[in-house]
Amino acid sequence: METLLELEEKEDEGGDIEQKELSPQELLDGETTVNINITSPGDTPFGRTKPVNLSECPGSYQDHSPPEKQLLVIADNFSSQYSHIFPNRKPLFLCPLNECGVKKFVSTTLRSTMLPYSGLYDWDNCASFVADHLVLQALDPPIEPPRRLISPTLLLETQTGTCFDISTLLCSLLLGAGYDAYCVTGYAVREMCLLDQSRQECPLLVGEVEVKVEGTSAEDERQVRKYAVKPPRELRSTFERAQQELKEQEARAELLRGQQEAQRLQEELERPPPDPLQGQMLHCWVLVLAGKREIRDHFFIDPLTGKGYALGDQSFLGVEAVWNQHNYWVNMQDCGGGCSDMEYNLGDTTMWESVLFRITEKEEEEEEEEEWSEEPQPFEMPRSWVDTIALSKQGEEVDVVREWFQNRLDHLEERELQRATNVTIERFSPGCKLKLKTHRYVSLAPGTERRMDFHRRVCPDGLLLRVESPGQMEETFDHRDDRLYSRHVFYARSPEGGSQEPGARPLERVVERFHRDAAKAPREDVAERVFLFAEGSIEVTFHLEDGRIIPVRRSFVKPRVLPDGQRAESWRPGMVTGYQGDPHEDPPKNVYLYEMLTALMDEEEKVTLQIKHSETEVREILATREREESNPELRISIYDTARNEKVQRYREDMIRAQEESQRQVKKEIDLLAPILARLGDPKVLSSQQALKVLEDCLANQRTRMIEQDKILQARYDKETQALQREQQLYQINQLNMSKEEEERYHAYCSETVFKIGVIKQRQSRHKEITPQKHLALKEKLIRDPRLAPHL
Amino acid sequence: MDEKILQEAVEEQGPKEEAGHISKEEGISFNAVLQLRLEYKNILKIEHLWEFTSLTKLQLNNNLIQKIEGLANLTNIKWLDLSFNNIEKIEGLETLTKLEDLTFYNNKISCIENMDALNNLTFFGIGNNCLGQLDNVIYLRRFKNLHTLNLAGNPLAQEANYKLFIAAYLSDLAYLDYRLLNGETKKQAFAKYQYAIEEIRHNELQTLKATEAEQKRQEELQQHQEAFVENLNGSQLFDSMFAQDPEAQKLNQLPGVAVLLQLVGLCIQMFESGFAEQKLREAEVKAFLEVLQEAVREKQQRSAQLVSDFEKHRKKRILDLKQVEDAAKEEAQVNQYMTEIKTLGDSCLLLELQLVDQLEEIIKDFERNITDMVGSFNETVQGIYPFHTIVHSNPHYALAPLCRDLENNLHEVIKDIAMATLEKVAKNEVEDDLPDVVRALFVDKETVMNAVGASHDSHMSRIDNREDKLVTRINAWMMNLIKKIQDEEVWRNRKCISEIQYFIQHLRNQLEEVLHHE
Repeated sequence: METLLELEEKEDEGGDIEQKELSPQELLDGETTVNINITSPGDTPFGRTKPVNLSECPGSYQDHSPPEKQLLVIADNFSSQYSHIFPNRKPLFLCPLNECGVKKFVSTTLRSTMLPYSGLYDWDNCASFVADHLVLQALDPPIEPPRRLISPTLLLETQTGTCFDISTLLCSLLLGAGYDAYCVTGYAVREMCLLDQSRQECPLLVGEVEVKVEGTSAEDERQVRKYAVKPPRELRSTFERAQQELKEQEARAELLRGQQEAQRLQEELERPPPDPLQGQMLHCWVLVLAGKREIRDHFFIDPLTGKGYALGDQSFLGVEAVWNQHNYWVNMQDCGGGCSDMEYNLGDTTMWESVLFRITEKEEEEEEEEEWSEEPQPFEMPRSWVDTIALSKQGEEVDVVREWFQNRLDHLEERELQRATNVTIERFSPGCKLKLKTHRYVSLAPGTERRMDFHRRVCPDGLLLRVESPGQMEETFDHRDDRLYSRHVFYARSPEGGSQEPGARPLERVVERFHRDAAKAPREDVAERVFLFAEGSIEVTFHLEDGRIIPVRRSFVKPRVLPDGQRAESWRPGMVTGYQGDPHEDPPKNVYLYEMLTALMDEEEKVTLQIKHSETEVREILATREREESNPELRISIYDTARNEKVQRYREDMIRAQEESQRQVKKEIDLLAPILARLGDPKVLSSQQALKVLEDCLANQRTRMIEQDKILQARYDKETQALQREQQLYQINQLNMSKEEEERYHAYCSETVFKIGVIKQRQSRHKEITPQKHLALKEKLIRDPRLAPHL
Repeated sequence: MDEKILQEAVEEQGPKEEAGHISKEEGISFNAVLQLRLEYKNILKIEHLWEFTSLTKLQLNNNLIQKIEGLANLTNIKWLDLSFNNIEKIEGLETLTKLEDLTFYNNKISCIENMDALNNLTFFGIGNNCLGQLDNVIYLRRFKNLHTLNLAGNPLAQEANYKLFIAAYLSDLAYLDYRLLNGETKKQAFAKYQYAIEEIRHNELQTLKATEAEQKRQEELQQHQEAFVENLNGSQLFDSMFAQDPEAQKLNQLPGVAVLLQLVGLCIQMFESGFAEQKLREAEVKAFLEVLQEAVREKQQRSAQLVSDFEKHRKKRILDLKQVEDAAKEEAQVNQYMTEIKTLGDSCLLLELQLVDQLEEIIKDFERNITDMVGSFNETVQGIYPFHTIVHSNPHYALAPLCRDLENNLHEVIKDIAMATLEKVAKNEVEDDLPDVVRALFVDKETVMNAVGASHDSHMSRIDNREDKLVTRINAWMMNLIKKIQDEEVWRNRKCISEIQYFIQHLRNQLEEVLHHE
């Protein structure tokens, strides 16, 4: 049979299905023919699904595009030729109606789609997703293909469909994920068609068996020892045992028989009733061919369970046809012995008859070199009429909501909300001010159930864990000097309702447990002490001595205490009872016991205080958490100057200080200040005032310069006069001067001459500078913003 | 000083208030007293203190004591104050090894001595005494923990270099005469006495090394003794064979008498195999003890579980009993409780019995194994079964027979040489360098042969002795071990049974008490 482009015959749409309804079906293997009376299925397109507004469907759902029309003609032609040539075979499942009642070719119902969820990328996850989220609507009748094949989009909405619908969806997803996938229509066993898994091993049970096997291997290791104590001998008569065994054997045999009988019955019951439709139950599944996505071997996927099967699996009895989005192939091979011997080389026309003539990829390459125009262009499968497949998140039911945080000031890192129990678990990183590691709670109100784990070695009292439940509080400690590792507080039931403050809950008893302290003798090392507040007594259990099985115990009855704190009773030995341990040892002295009681009573008070402290701590933690939660703050690095307020403030201060100092420098060289001050610091200067200020200022400078000049002149005069005087003296006394005096005179002269030279130099420089300075000042003053507008 | 004074002091210094009344009523036993003050009591002689064995602090200051005595039993004492007495000599402190704080202020002591046992001494006060010799202070160097010393008021404290001398010789001292010895002083002192100090240190180091070496040697010997092969890892046996044999020494000077060196090799082999055997024995004992302890522990846990389960319900039972009014009901409850007690006792005893059976079996196994091991070791040593040596990879395993063979060979060789020499002597061909003592032997054949025979006999007896010693000791060790294990098991069993009985009795008494009260 060739695929023909000519349109030969046309038939009324939808006619043939009804026509062949009750005709005897002859199978490919030519087995028995069965007559079944099945009435025509009612026109209930969506089974038990909610009504969908079909008028909202896109146009492509309700109409045909021109290539589709052409395709339908081809399909009709193919189908009629097929039924003509193979009158014994079932009519092909080619053009079912869609949800809008429009005939659509099956290949165009496939819409290759890649969903944006990484979890659906692999075939096994994808298949189990499809299997888990869709409900099967069994074929009715089970030997007929369905009249309708709904689009994958509608299927996802209604979540109910036939195996054909489900396979179409799965195949679409697999094609999108890059697999070489095909829908297969054919025959399968009843269990598969009806999704009956009651005869399969439970997958959860299989796991348990494995665990057991591991356990036994560990035991074997222990037995490789030279000495081993034998299990205790059983002190029973062997005869009796033999009799017993005999009886047991009989009983066992009886039981076995019974079991076998029961098993037989069970098997009988469980054995599938002979299937009248064996080999005729129609099914649709997915075939994945090797080659893409690193698939080595071809395999089947049952879309109802999501499991993969080898091609030769006994559950699949025969294949009628396969199709993908490009073509439709009819199986020409004999399926008498199941599907194990089938070949899946779809290009081989002796085994697979395709509806459309389609060149395989290899041939395509060869043909590219040849001329195209001579041959008529092969008909291409039109585009899918189905809209984009999308998965809405709304339908998802989430069990656990997780939130992650970073850089929070309260060091919260993760919050997990378990929807089912409404339990919140918060995890904190080390460094949390509250020392919390995890906090598990239902509500933040004090007195409710909660569990707080603390970071190890952070709490000063070694607290590791605090669990609160109604009426109880249990604290676990670690690394304490007093070796306390657990304190369990039982609260008495409040007398009237629960309206009392949680801090005022009366204590019923407190149990404290201690680790062994090797420095003390075991009979003096407390293992457990119980403060029975309700009974007014204290019970102490000591650690076990080596080789003993009964610990020393003491029970103290507290002496009654008067309201003013005085003891109403004095000591009597009857206050202490207990088990002494070693019968050979002297009983402890009364003083020792009395002192122990006193110490214990002190301890009791301390413990009460500690419990109060714990309660306050819990309340504080909760209050802090609530505050932090309502106004979360971020942890900002000190190097992050833009966001760290403290650093920013510091920087601003620094800038301000800098500006301040600059301003001060400016003030110092404000030349006008003294003159302006004399004028009374006017805000705005009049031009007259400005001129005066300018003149004053310049005059000031001039006078100062003159003064400086005068000082220089005075020094010059003084030095010259002194020199002259010396010279005169020298000339007078020159003859009667000693050598030393003469030398001193010369030294003086040269020194003074040098000084005079320096002064002269300075004078000349002063003269040079004065006009320059004058000009510079004048310029500066003219440029001064206060004077400038007036000059 | 008599009992009365002590009694008064104890009562006066004992617990106060209510605890005081209680303790007075029942009396205070001297051996529980931790501290005792006996000052200003005009005590002349220390006596009657032997009962205060737990005492940690004793103050005997301001008395008239002349001699330190009667303190030997106070082994726990840490603080002893004997100031303001008339003591002239330090003595009687040999047993007080825990002593940390010792004061002799204001006495008449002229020499620091007899304190070798006080290794923990940290404070030593001996002010206002008659110490005159600075060198005497060097005695205190042996106390490594001593950090405070008081010597003020002694004649020696008047000496010019007193402080520096002490700072130099007692370099770890922190306080002298209640003043801090600062680093400056110590440096000065060290500079001054550097050579003397270094010499002392050197000597001390030498002694320390010597003692350490001696200790190590002792430890090694101990190890070897545990393996029963001591003194076999060298030529000791060989040496001892010849050491006490004057004849052999003479004979050895004959030309051609080879040294019996092979014997040493044999000994070393013996030594090594002895060690290997000991390792095996140790492993055996360890494996056995592990299993034994584990079994005991497991049983203990199970019994303790039984008891604690019982204890959980006991209190409720007793409370119930107290509340029951109806006599018939009460009796039923009492009976039920009694049955429960009995069941508890029975199940505990049953567990114990089972354990005894189990242990008996493994102890027997162990006995058999260890006897086999020791037996095979002995056999290899004695070479009773020559085949045994083949079983072991080492063909020279059997010590004694091989040693004897060697000795026999030696004997033959010596005999031959002696005969040859005799002939030579007779012919006057002998070399001149043969000593006269040896020459005297070769007077006639009989004398020579006697000497050689005596030497041989003595050697043989040495080998026999060593062998006997080894075998006897290893057998004794084995017997001891087995006996110890058995005794311990018996003791454990008795203790456990008595504990169970006592506990059951205790429970019954308690029940009776409750019933009685009603």
